[in-house]
Amino acid sequence: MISFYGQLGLLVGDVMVAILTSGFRIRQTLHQIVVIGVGSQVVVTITGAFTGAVLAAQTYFKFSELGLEAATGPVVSIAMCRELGPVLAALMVAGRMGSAMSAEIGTMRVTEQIDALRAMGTDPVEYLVIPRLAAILISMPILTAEAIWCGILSSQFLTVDLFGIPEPWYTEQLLSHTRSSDVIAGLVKSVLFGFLIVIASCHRGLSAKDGAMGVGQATTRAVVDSALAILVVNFFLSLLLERWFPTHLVDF
Amino acid sequence: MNLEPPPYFEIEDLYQAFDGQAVLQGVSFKVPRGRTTAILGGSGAGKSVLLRHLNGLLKPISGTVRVTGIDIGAFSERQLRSIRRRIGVLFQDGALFDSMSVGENVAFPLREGGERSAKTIADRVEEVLSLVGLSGQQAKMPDALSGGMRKRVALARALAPRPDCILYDEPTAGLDPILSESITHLIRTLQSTLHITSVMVTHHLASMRYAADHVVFMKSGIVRYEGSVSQFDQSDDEAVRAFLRADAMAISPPTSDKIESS
Ligand SMILES: Nc1ncnc2c1ncn2[C@@H]1O[C@H](COP(=O)(O)OP(=O)(O)OP(=O)(O)O)[C@@H](O)[C@H]1O
Ligand SMILES: [Mg+2]
Repeated sequence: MISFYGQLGLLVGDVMVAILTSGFRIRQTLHQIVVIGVGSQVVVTITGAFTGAVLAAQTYFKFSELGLEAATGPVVSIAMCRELGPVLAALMVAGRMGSAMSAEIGTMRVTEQIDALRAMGTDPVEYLVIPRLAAILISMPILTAEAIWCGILSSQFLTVDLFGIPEPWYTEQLLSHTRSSDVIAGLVKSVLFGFLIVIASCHRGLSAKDGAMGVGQATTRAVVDSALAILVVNFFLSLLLERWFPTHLVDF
Repeated sequence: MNLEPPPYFEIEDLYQAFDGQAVLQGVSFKVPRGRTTAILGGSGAGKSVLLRHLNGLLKPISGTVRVTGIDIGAFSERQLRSIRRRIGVLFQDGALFDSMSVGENVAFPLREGGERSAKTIADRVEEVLSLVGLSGQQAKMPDALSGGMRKRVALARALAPRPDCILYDEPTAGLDPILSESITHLIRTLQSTLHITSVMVTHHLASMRYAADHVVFMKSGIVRYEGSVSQFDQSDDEAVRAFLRADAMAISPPTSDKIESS
């Protein structure tokens, strides 16, 4: 337990040192942006769209009983911006990329490729972890924004086109209750989740051992670690961000 | 004052264990500069583990490793980097980067060493690939190569940045006799023309006799013989004798019956 967090701490330390002291590998980073960012778009947009839609449906069903159907738009948009967009996008990226990262790095570990890197005087953290980290920090806010956008669009489609709320009313309610602080809070979260995914997954990959089975275990654990970290950290972040970017804050 | 440069590697009283099982038990020996040193020993004797201590990939439990006179015991990964760039390594299983083509694998240490000119890199890659008999195979992926080819690509990768020392873990294992001879010849040539210091782990006595100047024989993590090649045959250490006897038997089987597997 202690050694687990110790190792994570050491990895974060190595990452910081590598960021501060070594050149930036643009080619690797661009490659990772394509793999992580571009490759995850479909998954993330579908996730966003359907989450927004079910949320809108359930909110509408209950709120219309109380005559509050106009609140559907703001409820969906704030939930998507602050919680569901960043969390679900991050969980999808963790499932997709966290597993791929730990499997790739884990395989390199057990086939001595990591040792070969070290033997050639290349720091595995600088070569493997930093480009992935840079790529995910750039990709996550964009992916999250897409998820939020799709969620809001699908909820609009459902409430306006299917349930018949007048469009101007829906839009006006949504815009007057969704502030830029909500969007910023979500994007800040997404960047942090990206960091958690890369650190958790690369740590599992770099410490893989015992051949194919070990790589399999590392992969499973990477996804579980990332997902748990995202959910737990999200709760505390929600409390913190409510102080820094409160939802009642007036637009900047 | 001692004008003679220190040996390339000086190993003193090295101990290493994994999961409570001792692998190296007080290993000491020297690797003379500009010469080829062969490390012999049975399977599981700890040869590959020993080799990993020479460039600091593994840290010993106790004991010292001096590289060109410098004790690397307290060095961090970062401090080891410049030493490692001067030491090429051929891993036992090649350890090729399987996401890169043969050409990219061989070019990798050149790029990492700061070479930027694509032309210089391509020329050097072709040059070392032809040294190992794989000229023009740059575009192949490691997965599409035979075991012996992978080993030779790995050798080319180790040679590419012109290191002043190379650690070979079984350079000839898994090669046919003709290739095996040409690789042994290559190791000898590198030593005689470029004065590269070589450490060669091998089971292959013929290639040891041809290429090596200095021999270290290990058994169960202990050095049983260190000295010249000619005296190796005269050693009266029991483990060395057993090794030599087994090798002689492989060349001329004693009888027509099958050799019992132990
Ligand atoms: N990473 C490791 N973890 C645990 N045990 C190890 C590890 N590496 C090596 N060993 C053990 O150390 C001993 C020596 O291994 P080593 O690979 O050095 O043998 P070797 O002399 O190179 O044999 P071979 O000629 O078969 O390659 C073996 O018993 C092996 O099980
Ligand atoms: Mg070995």
